[in-house]
Amino acid sequence: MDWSKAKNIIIAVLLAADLLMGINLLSQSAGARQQTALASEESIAFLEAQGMTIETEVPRRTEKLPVLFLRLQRADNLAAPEEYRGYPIVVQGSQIGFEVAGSGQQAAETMPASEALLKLYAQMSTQESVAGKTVEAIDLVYLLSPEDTSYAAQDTASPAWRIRVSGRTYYVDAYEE
Amino acid sequence: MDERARKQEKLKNAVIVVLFLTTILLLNLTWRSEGQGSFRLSSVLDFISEDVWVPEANEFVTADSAVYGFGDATFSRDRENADRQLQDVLDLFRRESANATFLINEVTDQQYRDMLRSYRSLKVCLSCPVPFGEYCDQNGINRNSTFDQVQTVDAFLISEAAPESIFVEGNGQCWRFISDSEESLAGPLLASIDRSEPIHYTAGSMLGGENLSLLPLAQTSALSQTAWESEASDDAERTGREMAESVFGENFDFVRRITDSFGNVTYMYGYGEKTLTCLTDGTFEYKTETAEGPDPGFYGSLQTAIAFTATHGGWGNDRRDLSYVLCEAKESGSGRSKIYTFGFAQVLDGLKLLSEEGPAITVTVSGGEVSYYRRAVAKAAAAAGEEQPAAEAANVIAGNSHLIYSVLTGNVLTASSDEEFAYVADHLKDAYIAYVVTEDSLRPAWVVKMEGDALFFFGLYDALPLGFTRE
Amino acid sequence: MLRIRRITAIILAIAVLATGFVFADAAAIVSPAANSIVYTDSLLVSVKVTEMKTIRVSVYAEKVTSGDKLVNADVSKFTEADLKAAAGDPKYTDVLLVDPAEYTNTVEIGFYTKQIAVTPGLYKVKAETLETVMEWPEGAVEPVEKTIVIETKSSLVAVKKKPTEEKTQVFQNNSTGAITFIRKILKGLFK
Repeated sequence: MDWSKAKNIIIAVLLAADLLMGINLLSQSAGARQQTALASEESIAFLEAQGMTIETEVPRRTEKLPVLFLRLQRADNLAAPEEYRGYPIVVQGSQIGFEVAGSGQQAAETMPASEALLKLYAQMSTQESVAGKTVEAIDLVYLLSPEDTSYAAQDTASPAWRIRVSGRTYYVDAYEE
Repeated sequence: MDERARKQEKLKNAVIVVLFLTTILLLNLTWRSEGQGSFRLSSVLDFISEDVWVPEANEFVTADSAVYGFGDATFSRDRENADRQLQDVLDLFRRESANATFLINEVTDQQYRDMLRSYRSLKVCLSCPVPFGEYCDQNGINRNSTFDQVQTVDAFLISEAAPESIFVEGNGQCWRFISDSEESLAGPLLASIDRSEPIHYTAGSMLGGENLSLLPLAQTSALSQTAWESEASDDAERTGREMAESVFGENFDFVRRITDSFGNVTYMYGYGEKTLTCLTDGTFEYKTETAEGPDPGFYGSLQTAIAFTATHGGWGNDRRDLSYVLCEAKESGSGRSKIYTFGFAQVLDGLKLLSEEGPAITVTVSGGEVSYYRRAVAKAAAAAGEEQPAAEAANVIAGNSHLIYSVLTGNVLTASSDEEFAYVADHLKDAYIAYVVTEDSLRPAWVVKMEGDALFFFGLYDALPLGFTRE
Repeated sequence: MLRIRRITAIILAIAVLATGFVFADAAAIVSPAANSIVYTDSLLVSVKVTEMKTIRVSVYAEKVTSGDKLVNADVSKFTEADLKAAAGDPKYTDVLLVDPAEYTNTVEIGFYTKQIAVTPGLYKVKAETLETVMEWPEGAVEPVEKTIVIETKSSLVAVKKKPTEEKTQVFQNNSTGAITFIRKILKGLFK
């Protein structure tokens, strides 16, 4: 048996298979990115058609983020880290000091910013007219809402889209259902 | 040349290895991208997951005790042979339902009273009430539409007063199933009944009044207080985490985790749609929204409760003997909103472990889904002390009638002690011995069960109050 | 001085006896019910005590003289009226069946219960409420304690042998028989 020739064939086959799979993955990824971009554009178009003005750049990328565990200290004038890996940490409600105790073992994909905008629109439109409102800023943060768990010594902050609309700030849970 | 050829071959080998590894990596990425974005090994390997023992619902619907009446106002209670007696009665019922037809009459209070007092009888009490129709189906008893008048069964009775009949008790009523069979059904079963200590009398005989609930005369006991610890005591945090992983599955890493200053942890999915609380004392409580759906029936819901428990904490390592008994089964609502609540008590050396918070495991099922699960399982070993006289049941009840009356009626001051006692004696349903779970130990106790299923606990030897449950 | 002591003792005794009336009905015999007829070979004695007092419970067999012996009374034909008439009838002699037992109630309501083996006959259960009083015997320097009975309750019961052929029918045989007959006819018709 001509092992040399056999090896050449094996190398050729593996190379071809790897190339095919690589192209497939790249095209899938590109397709997903294209779809997300298209969905994003369509969402913005829809919101503008409803009378909203988008004054800020809507992030196109999604992120894979874990939850954040925070150790809470209920006292005034406590120093607290403002961000984690570049993402601001926002604590709603009363003044609470905290420190980062750890993060979740797994990370999950956040929903696209455009989808968060649509969810916010759906929520706002049930209570008031959105025509004339302006989306001034949108960014990804870690959000903690401790006012309903005043007894907590440790709590969990989850990724959320922070959206400022006409001077008022709203938060939309960033994890997909 | 040879050297060059050898180097070339070595390079080809290295390239093949690299390409092979790359192929595996790309295959993995392709598989993951076409499937879910991420996965947990346990969810993928579910079909070969660890050996989980799931008992059958039938194994939990058993006999609690057999009561023998001797026709002279004396009775004996037998827990050891209760299951065998139940099987004998069911065999009889099955045989008769296959070969004969039944005429069904409701038994009046007076008839029931006369029957119990003056005739030999065998009564097998189930551990909890069960829908009669489903019970018949589960146990192979042929039934027709006339059986529908009996809603619930909690005991079967065979009596010398009507040897051709089988009596079915449930929901405070008694039904006589008259067989058209020629032979005496009662004879062979009643031949096996035997007196055993302590002798029982009706509460009416001992305390005055008409209550037919049984109370034992004086007895001794060697039961002793014993230490206990939670099943999670070895590593509460790890056990809590495992419980949370079993509840939330692949979402576990994304649920909100709240820890209070005592170390109790609450896991919350969404905005509280699903919560799991893990207390430092080893108690777990899971809640989710009540689901509506087709009613799977008592046994279907019970099996759902059993299966859920099996995969969230389990039923214990010893598969030969169940160390739990189904001690409560309640139904509420109807149709698609029917809710079943099952309570499972641990059993230690033949005695139930009870506490003010309820039995060790409580599961609520609606629409075939578990909506509530509470688990507070203890680890303990029975301890025996010296045989000594137990407080007499009659005096446990009489001496604590003010407490029982106040708790049940909310009246603390207005009634006289005689009125309080008369009320308690009239509304008594049962009195038996069990272990009560207190903060520091398992204590042998008298359990006094009242109408409405409230339980009151008193020390077995000193009759001092140890607590109570409320509905 | 002696006179004063005697007067004091008398006043004390009267006071105690008077309080005996106030505390009447401290004990009640729950079982056996007065003037009842039972079919059993063991009698449940249950006495309810509604005050913090001590009672003494005695069970007597009411025997009659036959020749020079005392035998169980023949109660086979006794009715409730016969039982009422038997109370205080001098033809019956109290024969103590078991040693009297004392029971002290330390709470608001307590029960003395005991099961006693019996044979067919007439029995009396007696419950005496006891009180300790101070008595000043003549010539004594100090008063001494004495236990007196301040209340007596008794209950007569006739224990009969269960007549196997004369049991009260709980479920009427007649109707059952007719129903069975009709069912058999119907079953035969529709087989």
